[in-house]
Order: sequence, then C-alpha cells, then structure tokens
Amino acid sequence: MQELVQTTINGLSSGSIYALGAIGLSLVYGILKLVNFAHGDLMTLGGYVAFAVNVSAGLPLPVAILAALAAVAAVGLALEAALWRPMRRRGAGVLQLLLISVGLAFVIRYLIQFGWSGQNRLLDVDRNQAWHPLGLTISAVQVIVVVTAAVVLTLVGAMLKTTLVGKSMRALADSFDLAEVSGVDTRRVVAYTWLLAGSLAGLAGVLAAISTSLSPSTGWLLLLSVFAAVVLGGIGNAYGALAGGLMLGLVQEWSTILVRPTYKEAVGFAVLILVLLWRPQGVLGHARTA
Amino acid sequence: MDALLAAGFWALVLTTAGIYAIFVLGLQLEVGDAGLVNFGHVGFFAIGAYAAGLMLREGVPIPLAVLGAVAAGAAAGILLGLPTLRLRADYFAITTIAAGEIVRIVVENEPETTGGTNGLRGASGGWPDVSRDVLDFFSGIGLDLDRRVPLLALVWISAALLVAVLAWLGRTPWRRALRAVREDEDAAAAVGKPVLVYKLQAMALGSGIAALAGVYWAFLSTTIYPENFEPIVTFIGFGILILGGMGSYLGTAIGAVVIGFIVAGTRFLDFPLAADKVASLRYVAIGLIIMLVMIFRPQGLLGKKEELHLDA
Repeated sequence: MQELVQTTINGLSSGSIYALGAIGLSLVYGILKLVNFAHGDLMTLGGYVAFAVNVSAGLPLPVAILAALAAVAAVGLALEAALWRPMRRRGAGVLQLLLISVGLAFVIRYLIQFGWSGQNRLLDVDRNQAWHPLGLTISAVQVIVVVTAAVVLTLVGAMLKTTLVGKSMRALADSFDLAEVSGVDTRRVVAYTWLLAGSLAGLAGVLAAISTSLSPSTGWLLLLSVFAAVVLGGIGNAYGALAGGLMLGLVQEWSTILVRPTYKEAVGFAVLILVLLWRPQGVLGHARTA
Repeated sequence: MDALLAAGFWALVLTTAGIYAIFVLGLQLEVGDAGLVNFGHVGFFAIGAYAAGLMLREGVPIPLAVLGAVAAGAAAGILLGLPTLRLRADYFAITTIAAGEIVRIVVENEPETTGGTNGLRGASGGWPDVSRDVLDFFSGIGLDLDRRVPLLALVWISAALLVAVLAWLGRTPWRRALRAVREDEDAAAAVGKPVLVYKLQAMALGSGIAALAGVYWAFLSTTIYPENFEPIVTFIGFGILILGGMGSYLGTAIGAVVIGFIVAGTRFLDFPLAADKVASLRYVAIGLIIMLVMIFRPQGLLGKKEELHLDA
C-alpha cells in the first residue's frame, strides 16, 4: 500500500512534466498538422535558459522559470514566422514538415551542446530536502514540480474551456477549415497556440531540469514519452494530452513495483502499443479524424 | 597522420558508410516504396547485430549466423507490423520509434545475456580469422591490403547485390502493387490487393535488410553497445534517404557516403575547436542538411518528384 502511494506521488511528478509537454505538442499537431520532433529540444532550451538565469546569473528560481517561458515562447513564434508559416504556404505535406522538424531538432540540440557543452548541469534547488509523512518520501523538488504543474495545468484547462482564444484553438484542432469559415481569425489563434505551446514546453524543460539534471538530450529523451502521452490522449486533443501525460507517468512508476525501474520507459511504450491495438485513435481521440 | 594510417581511416569511413547504405536500402523499401514511415528501423539493426553476436559467440558458423540474424530481423518486422500497420501514418511513426526504444532498453537491462552497457564482447565471432585469411591470400599474390579492406569489400558487395535485387524487384508486379498500396490503399484493396500482406512483406524485407546491416556492424565493432542503437541512428538514416532521394538506390549510396563522411570522416579534418564542439557542429550540419533538402528539394538529390509521397 505504502509502495503504491509512493509510486503514485512519483508518477504524478513525472506525469505532470509529460502533460505540460504534451498539451502544446498535441495542439500544434492538431492545428498545424505539424508533428514537431523539435518540441523536446524546445523543452531543453527552456532548461538551459533557466540555468543561465538561475545559476550563471544567480537570480532566484521563479525569475528563471519566467525567463524560460518567455524565451521558448519567443523561439516558437519566431520559428512559426520564419519556417512553418512559409512552408505551409508552399503546401508542404505532413511528412515533409515532420522531417524538417527532425532536422530542426538536431540543430537546436547540438547548438545547445555547442554552447553549453554536453556535461550535466544542475539548477540551484535544494535536492536533499524531503519530508517523510507516514514513512513516505516527498521531496521538495517533487512539491515544486507537482504544485507548479497543477496550477498551470488548471489555468490552461480553464483557458481552453472558457476563453474565446481557447475555444478557437480547440475548434481549429478539430477542423481548421470549418473554424476558418466560421470566422475564426486563424492567424491570431495560431500565434497564441505557439505562445502557449512554447511557454508550456519551456516550463516542462525547467521542471525536468529541477527534478533530475539538465543535459542537451534531456528534452529529446522526454519527447518519446511526451509523444506517447499525445497519442494516448488522441492527437489534437488538449485534455487528452493532459490525461495521457498523467496516465503515462503513473503507469511508468507503478510498473516499478513489478519490474526493474530501468524498464519503466519500455513499459510506457509497451502500454502505448497495447492501447493503440485496442483504440487506434487514442483513448480520447475521435475515430473520424482517421 | 601518415598515408598508411590515412588509408585505414578512409577504409573505416567507407565501411561505416556502406553499412549505412545497407541500413537505408531497407528504409528505402519501407518508406520509398511502401510509404511506411518506420522510425524504429534502428531496432532491427540492433536485433541483427545482437542476434549475430550471440550466435557467433556460441560458435555458430558465420553464414548460418548471418542468415539467422536476418531471419530474426524479418520476423521482428512482422511482429511489429501486425499490430501497428493498421494505424494512421503519424501514429505508426511514433509507435515504431517506441518499439525501437523497447529493443534498446531490453538490451541494456539484460546484462546476463547481452552484456548490458558493458557491451557484448566478441560479437564478430570468427570474422577476424576469415578477414586475416583473405589478407594472407592477397599478400600471397603480392598484394598488401589494409586490414579493414575485407570488410569494406564485403559491405559494399552486399550493398551492390542488394541494389541489384531491389532493382529487379522494381520491375516485378510485386513492387508495382506495393506502390499502388502506397498511393491509394483503398483503391488497391478495391482491385483485390491484400493491402496488409503487402505492407507486412515490405516490413519483413526492410527489417531483414536492417538486420544485415546490424550483422556487419557487429563485424566492424567486435564489441557492440546499446548506445550504438539509439533513435538518432534511424534519423541519420532518414537524412541519407532524404539527401539521396526517395526511390533512388544510387542516391541512397551517394547519400550514405556524404553523411558517413560528415559523421565519421570529419574527424580527419583539423578544426581550430575543441573535439566536443566539432562533434556538436557535425550534427548541426546533418540537421541543416535534412532541413534544407526537405525545404528546397524534398525529392532529394536523385529522387524523382513522382516518387515523392509526403502527405502521410
């Protein structure tokens, strides 16, 4: 029982990082038909911006988090303007965009490695502080991650549900053309989507850097699980991505009760394949988008 | 770097390029012909390398081990294809990348069998002896070759044979049906083509070819590590495929040499930078090549526009 509670806490912590990454990835995917393999490396970039502010410049963590959010959102917008919009206008196909993003992922990751070297970096947080209620271990890092993610995910969920921009995003993800003929200002909504996707990716990167350590491949290693969360939730479905992320984090941590912890990523991927066998369109996806 | 060492170095670079060429020929069949965007190709490369390595360590004769490894790769391809080939292209891509990672993680976590992160030693089995015999034969007739030449020859002869086989297949109804499946699944099904069977055949063949590349990797490296089989290998393969062009086997060979040169060959050049900085720039260059080719010439250097199928 105690083991179950402990792994649930750990799973919520890693799952909220997946969820933060997955929402942006899923929206961009649904709205722009861009399977963005560079999304993980945007997360990494967020981690390094936070590192520069928090460690190199010695400013407090909240400032570093805000800087990371702003920087990655700006990069997301810049890439939309310089790369993705022109490519869409030229009528690029899904696979063409996907492969461009694979190239872009290489460029971002190795420019980061060029600039900051490949060594592991740590943000300035107290990793040893932990509480032990009822024999459990809850680290300060986990509290920071889960609380930050819970607040942000709630806000994002409310934003998608109630605001006009949020509703427009979901409408665009559902059917771009229908939303456009209904008078949605697609260009504006696309910009907001990148703003949201970029800042959530930046935040996910910082939280990942806090909870473990930061290296140029941090985001890339997370990306597969983030993709798995997106697919589990149904591509283009923001709520699905949120649920998929948490679900994946929990399943991975729960699996450590039964198998070696080093297998937990493989367990996550196996779950992905099994779920797709059962529901090829994801748990919350619509069959008709196929 | 003296001339002799340089010759050995270039033999190594070209051998690596040849292994990449074989690896990508499998990808060419799956992506170019069948339209299956398999991002888990490296998993079959790993299966080939480890299957061959494990058999060769037990003293299985080389030809048998090669056949066994290729069969293992093909069987794994079918095993992965059965549940995933019904998926939409984007779901398929992500699922296959996950499958490739499962292979690597399992290899990493079963050190009793695979050596885990310490690597599988002696994975080339009796190949070094065969290689030495070949060298002795040639020095017997007055030809002193670099010790890497036998593998270099084996790899590129295999690649050439594969190209011949694939080109022959290209003139058969089989490949036409495969392309019909790629172009319009429903139409192919409507005229009675068993779509899933064709896709499974493409997966089996492509995965078997990747496994063969894996066997040669084991010959080359002798000790193989899980880190040799990270997803980046698949993407380097895609870089080669894209650069060379979809549907062009000659393009694949050229792409493999160009990318192989960037990955392995640039170590030869003296940059006024630290080694890790140069390593980073090497991959930035590969990323830029993928991006620029995909933006400005998506059919690749030698690809044909009509072969391009990029709408997933």
